[in-house]
Amino acid sequence: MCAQKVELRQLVKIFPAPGGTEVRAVDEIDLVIEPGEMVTFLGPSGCGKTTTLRMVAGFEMPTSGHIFIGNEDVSNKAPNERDTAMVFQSYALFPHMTVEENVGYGLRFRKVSKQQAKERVERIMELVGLQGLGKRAPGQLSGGQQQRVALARALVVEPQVLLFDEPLSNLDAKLREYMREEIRRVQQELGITAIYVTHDQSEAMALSDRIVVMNAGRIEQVGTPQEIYLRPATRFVADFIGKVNFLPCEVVSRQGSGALVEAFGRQIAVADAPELSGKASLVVRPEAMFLDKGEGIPVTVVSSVYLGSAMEIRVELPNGDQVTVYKSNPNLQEVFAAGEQAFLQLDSHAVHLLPN
Amino acid sequence: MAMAQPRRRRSRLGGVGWWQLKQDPILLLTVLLVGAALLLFIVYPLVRVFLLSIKPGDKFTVDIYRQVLNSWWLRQSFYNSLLLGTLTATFSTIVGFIFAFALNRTDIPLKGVFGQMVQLPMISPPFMFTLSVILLLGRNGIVTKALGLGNFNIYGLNGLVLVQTISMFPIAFNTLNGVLQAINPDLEEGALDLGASRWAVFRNITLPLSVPGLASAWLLVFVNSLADFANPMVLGGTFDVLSVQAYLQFTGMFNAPRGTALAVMLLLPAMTAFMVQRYWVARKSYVTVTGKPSSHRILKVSPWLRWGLFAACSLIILVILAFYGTVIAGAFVKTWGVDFTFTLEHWRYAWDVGLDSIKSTLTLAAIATPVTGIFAMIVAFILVRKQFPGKKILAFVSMLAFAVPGTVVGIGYILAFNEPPLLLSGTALIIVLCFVFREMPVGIESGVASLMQIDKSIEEASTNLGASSSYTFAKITLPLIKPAFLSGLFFAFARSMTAVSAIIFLVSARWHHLTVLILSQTEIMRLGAASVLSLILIIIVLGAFALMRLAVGDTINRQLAK
Repeated sequence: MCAQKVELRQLVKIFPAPGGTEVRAVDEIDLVIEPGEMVTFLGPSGCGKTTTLRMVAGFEMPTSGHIFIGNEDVSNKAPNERDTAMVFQSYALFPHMTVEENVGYGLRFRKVSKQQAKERVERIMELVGLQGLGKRAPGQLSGGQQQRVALARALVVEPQVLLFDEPLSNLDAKLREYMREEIRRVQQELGITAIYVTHDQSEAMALSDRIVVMNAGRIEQVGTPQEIYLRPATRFVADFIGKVNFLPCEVVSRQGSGALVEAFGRQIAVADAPELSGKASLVVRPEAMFLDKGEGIPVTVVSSVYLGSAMEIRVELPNGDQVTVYKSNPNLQEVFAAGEQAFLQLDSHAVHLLPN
Repeated sequence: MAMAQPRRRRSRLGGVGWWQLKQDPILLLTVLLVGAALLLFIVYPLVRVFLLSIKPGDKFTVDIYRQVLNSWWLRQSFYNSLLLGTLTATFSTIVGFIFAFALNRTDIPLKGVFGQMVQLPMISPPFMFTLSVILLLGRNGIVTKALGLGNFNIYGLNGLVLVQTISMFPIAFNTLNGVLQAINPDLEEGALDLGASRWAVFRNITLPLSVPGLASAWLLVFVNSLADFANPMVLGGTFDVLSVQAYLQFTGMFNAPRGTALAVMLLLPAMTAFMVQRYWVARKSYVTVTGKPSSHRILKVSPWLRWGLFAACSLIILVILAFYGTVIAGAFVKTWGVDFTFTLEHWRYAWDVGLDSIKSTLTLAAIATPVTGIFAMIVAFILVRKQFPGKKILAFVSMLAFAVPGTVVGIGYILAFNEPPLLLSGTALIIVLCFVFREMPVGIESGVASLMQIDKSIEEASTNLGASSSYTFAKITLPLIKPAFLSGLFFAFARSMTAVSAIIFLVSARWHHLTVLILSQTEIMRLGAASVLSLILIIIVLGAFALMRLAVGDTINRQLAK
């Protein structure tokens, strides 16, 4: 299997909309996906992630721009002439074929002898954990097993690029977590280039080498899961990935690559900050804040909800805004009741600065 | 003993729903009434037909069947029926599939127009196309004359296959359209993505998934072709078929027992095909036709195929339109094939002979339509929403009219309702009853389909708040299934207006039917008058169709506005 680079250049897709208008579903996307890399397109529905994926597969033709797989421009090639394989949200298993026939289907169109095809099907079925189910009809399998068949069918043709269109959304929560580890394991084992589309951020975090956050047809940010979470480039990204608080602040001075800011009369050092001056927003995750009885920004507890592994506490800032604080592994001695006064402290390594 | 009886029955029926019947006296009453009605007006006439064929005199005998099978020309009409059915079903399925594929899987131009036009034969009088074929290709037909085909004979198998295919392929189309709509496009895209060519996708995915649908379509058309009476009556020539022979023996030759034997012989293949379709093919289906089309995506097909399909569809539609045009022209010329001067003479004549028929046909259809619609919805409702013993039997019997040829029904009604206390022959009531129980299955089917899509909890909420089950049906369920109800009404009306095979046995001097009049005018070669009367019929049916569209569209618009 030879993993290939995928490159999107100035990719645009415009759909006609009722009333003679048009929708720019994908709006000038540039992206390079390295060989063997797993990249996730993440974003709310209608952000253009699925359209982009379908353009890579060849189901939609780009309005303008180019798609390269390896060094070849495939922009105008039919889906069956591209070496991609997709795992569909609906699985799209052929109901009139057995599991084996489903998995081996793509090999019919590749120069593979019957014997070789049989071996490859067996090997892949073993890899995804489907041993002994080859003669069943897809309808006789559980949802998780059907998912594996869909994965095996795409893997067996050893595509240059593997495509996933929200493949786990029809599974229950437990199975979903298990399958995403399986998908990641198999992808890494085979070292295959993969593009994964989802709107589930935890799925994206768990699976990806890099995440592409999309909004309204454009890329908001590309980065590793850590970069996306800890250093969101825009308010949209910060808000879309996990819970986040925005605290108003004012930049006092720059300190190397960081900055010193003032919020609610307290000076806070931000380790890594963009070039900003004047009013800005501190981006702080709930788990990067804690409540103290003696020192910090004075706040009033509004509510506190016990979640087992954590305590979610809403507090009101001096300016009337509310923020959320997580206290993980809470014990009974540290309960903050509604109405109680407390002081808010920030973990200065985990705060981030964004323009207003 | 009295104690043991219900218990035994309970275990046999699995005890399903007995308690619900006891809880709900209105349901109990409804089930009993519906069951009794179906028994009396569907099962009983069939029993009478069968009885007469095996007991023509005082004792049981198979002599009649022996006679029929020994007579070569009656045997021949059995083979002819099967041959005609096979050919018509095959051609209709092919044409239907071409249309369904072109409209669902390609982006040929004029798709909307084709989709509407294809339904035209469904609402046309049953032998309108026969009339136009005679006008075009008959002995005085303009095509026959123009091409100088003096000895050309359209009467017989060829003409019948042509006419039946044109009038019945929409049945195949509607079945296959549903099937193709229900095939998830992901499946085809998946195959394409794995490297299959467009042709391989069709061969490996689309076609195999359509096979049960193709079989269904074939069998449905086969049943319809067997049951067809009017076309072979007029266009059969020396090609005898069972439906016509049964009629002729029963009424023309006054050989009622032989007529019933032929009717039974007609019923057997029709029933077999229907049962195979419903209980075997339908179960083999990979796709469930829910009426909710999956998202519409189109895979690219080669321009050759695209234009080829466009040409094929256009050709069929043009033939349909040409047939319509011919009938319109036929209504306004003096003597077709001889003197083509414009005249309104046929209209005057048709008015004289036809006015009473038009009035009585409209009256009968207007009475039968709402009764059919409401009855069908009640049956659909109890079939979908309620549990009661004998439900499967009730469902089967209520759908039986799809399988039983009209000729058999007509004979059965004559036999069953010709003596007190059920002396109905010659009355309007017998015709209305015949309409109701023959057209009901269409309404039931559309009712069942739309009820399945309405969440049961909506009705439960109503009963939970204190409404009775009949109140809930009237105020909650019925409004929700109004579009299905209205289209069921329309089809009941259209089919009542265009029915002929069963009705021809039941009409009387007082209560006549327009189609029977058209048939007799065609037989005596008063083609101009037949054309005029056919046009009037079409105009009435199209008018009703427009009304229904208006009413349904109105409902939908209002729902959208909300």
